[in-house]
Amino acid sequence: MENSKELMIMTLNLQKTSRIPVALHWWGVYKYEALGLDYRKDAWKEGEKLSDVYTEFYEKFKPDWFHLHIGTPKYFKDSEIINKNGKSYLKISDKFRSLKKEDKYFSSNSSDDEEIMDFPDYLLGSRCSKPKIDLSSVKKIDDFIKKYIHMSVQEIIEMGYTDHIPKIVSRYGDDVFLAVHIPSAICEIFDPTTGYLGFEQGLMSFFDYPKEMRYFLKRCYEEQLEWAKAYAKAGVHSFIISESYISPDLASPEIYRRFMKDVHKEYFKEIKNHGLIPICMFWGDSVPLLNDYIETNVMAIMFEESKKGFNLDIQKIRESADNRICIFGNLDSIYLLREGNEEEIKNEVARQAKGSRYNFIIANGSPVTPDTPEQNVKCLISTGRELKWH
Amino acid sequence: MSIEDIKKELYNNVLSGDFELTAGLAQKAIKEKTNPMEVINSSLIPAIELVGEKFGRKEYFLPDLMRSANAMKKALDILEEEIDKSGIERKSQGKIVIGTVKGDIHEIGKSIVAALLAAKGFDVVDLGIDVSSDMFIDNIIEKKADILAMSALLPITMPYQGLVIEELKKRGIRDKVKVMVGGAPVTQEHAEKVGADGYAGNAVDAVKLAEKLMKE
Repeated sequence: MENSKELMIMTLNLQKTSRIPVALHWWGVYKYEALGLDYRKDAWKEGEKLSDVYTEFYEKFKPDWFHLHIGTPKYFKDSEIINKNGKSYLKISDKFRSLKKEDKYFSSNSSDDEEIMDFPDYLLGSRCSKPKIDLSSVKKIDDFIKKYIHMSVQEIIEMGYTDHIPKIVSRYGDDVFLAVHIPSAICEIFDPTTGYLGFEQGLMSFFDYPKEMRYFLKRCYEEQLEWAKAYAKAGVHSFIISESYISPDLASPEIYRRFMKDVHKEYFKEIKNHGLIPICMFWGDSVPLLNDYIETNVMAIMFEESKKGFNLDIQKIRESADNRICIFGNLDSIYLLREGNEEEIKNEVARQAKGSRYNFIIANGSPVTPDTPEQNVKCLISTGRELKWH
Repeated sequence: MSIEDIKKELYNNVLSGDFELTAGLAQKAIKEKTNPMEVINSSLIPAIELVGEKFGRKEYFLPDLMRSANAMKKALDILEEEIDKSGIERKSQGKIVIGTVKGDIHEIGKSIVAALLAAKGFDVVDLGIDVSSDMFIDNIIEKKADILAMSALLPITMPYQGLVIEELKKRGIRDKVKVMVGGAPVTQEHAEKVGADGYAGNAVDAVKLAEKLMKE
């Protein structure tokens, strides 16, 4: 019988295994809640302590992987949440302020005060405002990337972004699959509130600056490879990105094909070259681009659950994928996991798994949401663990 | 170019999202002494309505919608300026205060609805994201809004829509304003539970709902 790590790696490589893996993902805020912690306070612990939170959560539910996030920079240590003019901010400890200035991931925030960072108390600070880019020339793009985006592998590690990983690798690295999931470069560019272009400007730039936009995207993904390399060096097995904002239902399939497909091909190939298994969560209606996604060198695709505007039937998707790629399940995180009962969860897990042939991983669609009953999460995992391939 | 040709060109340019020419075409229409209201009603509105329908049928995507809205706005700015100068009254479909509720920074869906409502002749007061109950209510009172439209994309922020409705009641203005709710996880059942007057599953339906609520 394979252990969780072997099970996941073999399934991701479309090989025969003894059972279907279960990969609860986006532990997010829920991991704190499930452990009786307050994420507003406890999320800001330094990396090593963060690894304890992950470990405790894993031990409580025992899915087949660790679903890790980007990590915590060292300068968050000893920080505190303050209120200023009715808004929450993270106040950086005096001793770490110089380190904060060197960080390009979190530090380019909109606050005028160097000492504090925007802290939307619902988001764990992952959306600090980024500076805006001028796409009018390749030189300006290069200068912008150098000034605001580029961080070398060494800088990423020294900043503390991989500090949550070593303890987990040392304890679980041989037995459990370890994956880091971060927002894609597209998210950093297109986020409506904080992105380098913002959503509307980003979409318009495909028409107004097509050549420069293609170059900017390519360069941003090249830069993001530094992060993949840093996590590979820390010892994880897989690198996951979330692709949002340019899904077929929003930006059109054509825009993806013209601007992104080749970038993805090269990017996922490079991730493989660094010894990591590339996985991509494609948000939105992925069906029209399924074949294109399969051609990008990515090894597995994650989907959100069906939404009002589109239907993502995982059985049909798997059928269309025709054993060319591994497919994650998309159990509804809200109406099933949070609000459903154990019987409904068992039925839906079985329904999604039915007909799968060594190319499927049981998973939720959107992140696990707060107030999800623990017994429902346990039910999902235990039901999944009992299922055999058809 | 005859006035009919100008109107046809405007219609086509809005439909195709070619926003470079629409301002010039609107100016030409004014030079021809055409009633700007007629240009709006016969060219711009039918064009943007068709854009909305194509968007609903997934023939058009967001960039198309944005380009068309931009093309329309460039013409509309010029035509409305002329309307203001001439003293003609442009009848608004109604005034709508719209925003994404507190704790939620998701903007896309709300902005699409706001753009379509504006295109259909509503006066839209877009309060943006992370909007508190007080901000919604103060704006409803100050702007004398007919409709409040609230978006929530997160399950954890959906209940805030109900909280705002409760506040409207407390401040004695619930019967003065219609309330519509939307957002990815929002359902008809949720809308009824929180006491909203209507729910729409997508942007096109949201416009239809607003039109319906204005008639009630």
